[in-house]
Amino acid sequence: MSSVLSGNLAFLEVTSVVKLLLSDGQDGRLILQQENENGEIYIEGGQVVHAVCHAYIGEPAFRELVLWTSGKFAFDPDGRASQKSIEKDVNQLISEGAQQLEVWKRVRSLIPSYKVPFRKTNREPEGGVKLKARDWEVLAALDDGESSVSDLAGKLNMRDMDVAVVVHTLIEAGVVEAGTAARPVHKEVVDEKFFKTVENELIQLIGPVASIIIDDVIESMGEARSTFPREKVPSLVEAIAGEIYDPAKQLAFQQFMLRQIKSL
Amino acid sequence: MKEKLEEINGIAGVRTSFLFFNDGELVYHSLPKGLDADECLEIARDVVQMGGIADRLSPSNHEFEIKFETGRVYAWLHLHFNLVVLCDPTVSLSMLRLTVNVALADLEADKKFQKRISKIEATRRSFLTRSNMDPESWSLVEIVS
Repeated sequence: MSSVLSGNLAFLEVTSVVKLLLSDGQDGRLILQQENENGEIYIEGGQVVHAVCHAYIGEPAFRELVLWTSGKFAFDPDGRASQKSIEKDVNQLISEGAQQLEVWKRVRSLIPSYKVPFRKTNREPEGGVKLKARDWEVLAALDDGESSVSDLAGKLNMRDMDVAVVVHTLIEAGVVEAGTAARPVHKEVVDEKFFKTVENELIQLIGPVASIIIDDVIESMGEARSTFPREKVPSLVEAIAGEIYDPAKQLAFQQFMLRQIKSL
Repeated sequence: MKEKLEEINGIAGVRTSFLFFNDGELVYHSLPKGLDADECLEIARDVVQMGGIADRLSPSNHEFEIKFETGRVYAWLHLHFNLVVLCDPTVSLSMLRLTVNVALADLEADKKFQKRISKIEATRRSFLTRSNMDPESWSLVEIVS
């Protein structure tokens, strides 16, 4: 595969990459990679004609992919779609995708991960709340236990993203809160000094984007610098190393971090 | 060389690791209870044969992961040598990968190690012979070929 354009989704949103390719009249396949997930968007004749992500094909896949704000992308001008799964006008598709991303950014402030459990508050909200049928459906699915967005999506046969939006509404309404399993229970965390050390090393290797990459990876793991669990440090290092394209620098970073982990 | 593997063995959840060349020489191993050198070589042979099949499909470095109820086998197959790590299911794969990446890079940069592997002529594919394999595995090789 000959890639003519590649980069990091932390710096360029999926809709921006698609717009860039369309404005340049490019045909081909946009390959997206986020952690262990892959997705593809096909562009032909100035239109997005096909998209694939997980089990989704067509518009649902495109809607899922526009929410990816971390990972890598590469454009393969020789890639051709095996089928046409998207008929919608590209401008409408991109506009909807951009709106959805804005919603997702709001949702993510309260729901850092689809795996975080939630439960009913069992408190009477002050002034009462107005819920839609779908909100009631999700609230009912919570029963009296704790469920994550992924659990609820499976139970209700809905998309994770759609359930997350509803849970966000329910949290804002005060009828749902983070479950006990989501609250830190004496977990060992790394201190800010550790992140300063990581950042300084990474700046030497890849320059000033280092701190953005670190924050982006931490966020994609559903964590924060101030409460980052020690046990997740190897995964953090692996994810950051994946963002270093020069193999020699990647190895140097891994060697340095292995020493740091041992001294934690 | 031994120190590198000791580092891997020091990771929580790693039972043992062993490194062997394509010519069958077992470079280093520390045997856990219930596993003797012959069994190590049996595993090594199976890994080499799997690697030989993978080489036919794509001649490059390979990484295998075999999951079973009570454990995990991870294998890193480079051009002339192979590393096998036996673990508990609870092992941190990120920590293992990080340690192995660094250990293998250090090994490959080691002059003595380079000298040793420069003498190895055996390839994993050369172990893919009918006499070395059971009928099912052999028919799989024939399909791949």
